[in-house]
Amino acid sequence: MHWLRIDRYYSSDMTIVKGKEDGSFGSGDFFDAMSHPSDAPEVSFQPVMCQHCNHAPCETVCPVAATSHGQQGQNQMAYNRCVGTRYCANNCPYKVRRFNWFKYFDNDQFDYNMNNGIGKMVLNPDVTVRSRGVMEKCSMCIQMTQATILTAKKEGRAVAEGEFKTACANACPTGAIVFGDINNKESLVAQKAEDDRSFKLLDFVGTKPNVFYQLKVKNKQEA
Amino acid sequence: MSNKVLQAMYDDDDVLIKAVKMTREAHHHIEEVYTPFPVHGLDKAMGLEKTRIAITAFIYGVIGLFFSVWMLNYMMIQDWPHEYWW
Amino acid sequence: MAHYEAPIREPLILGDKTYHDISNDIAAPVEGKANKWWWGVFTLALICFLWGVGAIIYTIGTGIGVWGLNNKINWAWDITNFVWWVGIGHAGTLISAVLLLFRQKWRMGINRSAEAMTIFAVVQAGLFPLIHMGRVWNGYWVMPIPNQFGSLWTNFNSPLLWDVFAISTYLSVSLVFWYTGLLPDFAMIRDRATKPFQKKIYSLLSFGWTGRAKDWQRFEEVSLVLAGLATPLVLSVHTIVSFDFATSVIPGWHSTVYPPYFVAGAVFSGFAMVQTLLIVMRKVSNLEAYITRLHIENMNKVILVTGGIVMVAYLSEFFIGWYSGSLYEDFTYLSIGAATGPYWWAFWALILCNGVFPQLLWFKKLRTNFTVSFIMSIIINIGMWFERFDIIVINLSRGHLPSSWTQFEPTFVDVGIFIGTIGFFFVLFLLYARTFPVVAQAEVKSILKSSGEYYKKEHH
Repeated sequence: MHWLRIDRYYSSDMTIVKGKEDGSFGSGDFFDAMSHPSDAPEVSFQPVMCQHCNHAPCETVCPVAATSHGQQGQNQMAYNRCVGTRYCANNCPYKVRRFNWFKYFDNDQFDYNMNNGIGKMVLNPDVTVRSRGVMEKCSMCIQMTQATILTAKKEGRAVAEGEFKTACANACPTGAIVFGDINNKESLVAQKAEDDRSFKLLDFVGTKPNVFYQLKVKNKQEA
Repeated sequence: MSNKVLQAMYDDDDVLIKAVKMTREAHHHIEEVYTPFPVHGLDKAMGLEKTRIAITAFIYGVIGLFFSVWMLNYMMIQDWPHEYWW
Repeated sequence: MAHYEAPIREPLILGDKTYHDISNDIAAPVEGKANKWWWGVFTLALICFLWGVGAIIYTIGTGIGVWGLNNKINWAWDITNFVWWVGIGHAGTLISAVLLLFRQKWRMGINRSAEAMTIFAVVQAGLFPLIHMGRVWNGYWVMPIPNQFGSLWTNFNSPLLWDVFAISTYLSVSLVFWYTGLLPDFAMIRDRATKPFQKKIYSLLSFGWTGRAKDWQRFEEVSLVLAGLATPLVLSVHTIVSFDFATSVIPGWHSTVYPPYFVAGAVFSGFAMVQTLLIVMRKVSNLEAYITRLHIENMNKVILVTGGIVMVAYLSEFFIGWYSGSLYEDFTYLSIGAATGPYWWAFWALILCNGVFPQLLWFKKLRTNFTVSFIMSIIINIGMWFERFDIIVINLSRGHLPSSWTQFEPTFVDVGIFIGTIGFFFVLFLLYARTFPVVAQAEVKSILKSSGEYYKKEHH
């Protein structure tokens, strides 16, 4: 249900540099000290959704081929094929996959607006309701994606820049989330990718994610 | 030649093997030898044909190998590859 | 001389047993009545089994959410139990197949029951890939059967799919191997049976075995062929199970030492379970002449060797994790992070049970002692359960991103299903002990003149 996670990065008074200086690096005390938040924590918000990896660790391990790679570069999840072995979720280094542990609709143990007709009208009718035992994750708004592509196809033209945006990009008030066509050199997203600040999360794992972040630059002189 | 059928019981497998060898040397026909446990060398002493179980098992294995390689190629590459647009 | 064995070799059949004695001793548990010990343990096992069945029905009816899993730790007791049971199964196959190819006559007293243990263990193992699925009712989708979805095939890149083929091959080959060996032994019981129902059942089970020379010739050849098939299986099946972890990207899982380490660990835990079962069975079913101190000691030696390989794997994981300098390796299941973190108790249970205690088997006095061997086998099985738990849960609890770090706690359903499989296993084994000939009596008879104590004494 909550596919967007806000990572909060607490800083502790113990750092790797300090640990190496005072010789406690690698000891149990060192790790313990690292887990205590400092008195003046620094916080960055880092929404981590499905990174839509080009070398997705989740795609290769599904025994029934329920997750595959789309032509737009997104990682697709076929709810109706998933048998729920959860290997994909274990293999995801970003841990963005969510499993449907119970039946959440028509079930009065949970109140997610899905127990009666009125409540169900809150839901988007274009989005499939996932059954119990099925894995789900951010799909880059696949329903909107398809609708945009098919409209453009019917009109016999390419999808224009800015015509399609994911819901998260639409919702963000500060424009912190940008969606676009990376192959289009003029798009905002392609320009941001060339920026010195851009980095990919856990790129050393070799997943080749399609989501990249920009390093937060802070002026620490004036606290 | 009279058709006499002799049935003999032995309580020792070494004696049995010797008896089988002697009977064969005297060119008498051995209909069957029953033992409650396997006696090493009995089939050779009796002149039993070797079985073809081992070689046929190997051949079945080779067939299985070829079938499985063909199946994998058909399913994953020919019929419906996971990324099918190139 | 067909039956010569060096006098220095200890006898494999004790006492002054004759061929008839062997038939009587092996048929006795089948022909006699169960004593109160059998009924006591059977009742307990049956209760556990039924409790497990209830827990499984609850899981399938309500959802995997009744287990203690969460969005970061998606596997815990389910896959721990799966690997534990599959590993246990490997000992039976090794005893039947590998020791046959190595011409180790001491396998004959124990191979029947060890193979039975394998079959029953693989049955338990096979439950978990099924019930751990969110949608078990679609479980048949893992089979590559032509269908109406455009013939949507399975994904052969997935280690879970390799598991499907490996485990089913393993089960079928083990069953065939076990059953072929059983034919002459069922025939022995059929020939002695006086009650008409018993005679009918054992006639059916023995497929009309008569003991012709040709039948024995085929029997020996098939045993060799199956041994040749099963030996690579001992190595490949648990290698494939290890690939469930080794081919992933998770730190702690992504390790090339997993295949030999898992295979050695499987033999280690399997032999421990064989010890647990046989040390009790030899006393209860009066088979002390056939399952001797030598058998127990030889199995302890195998345990020592494979335990040593497992220890070397632990040390190499620990060392390479540290030597790599990678921060992510500081929290894997064999690292300082694990030893001092919230799962320290699981880490130390592993080190003690698998590394420290088995070293006692170096002492001949201890490894020839039945009580010590029994206690050691229980300790090793506990240790090997912890090894799989540590590998799965500790590694998943400390992922790449610290925001994914979380704990796992089992629910009563997790525990109930595990206890249920133990109960099911013992129900099967106890039933087997009273209806099947638990020692390969035909094979044992064939070594009586060479390895029986009475015959050895005669030769001096």
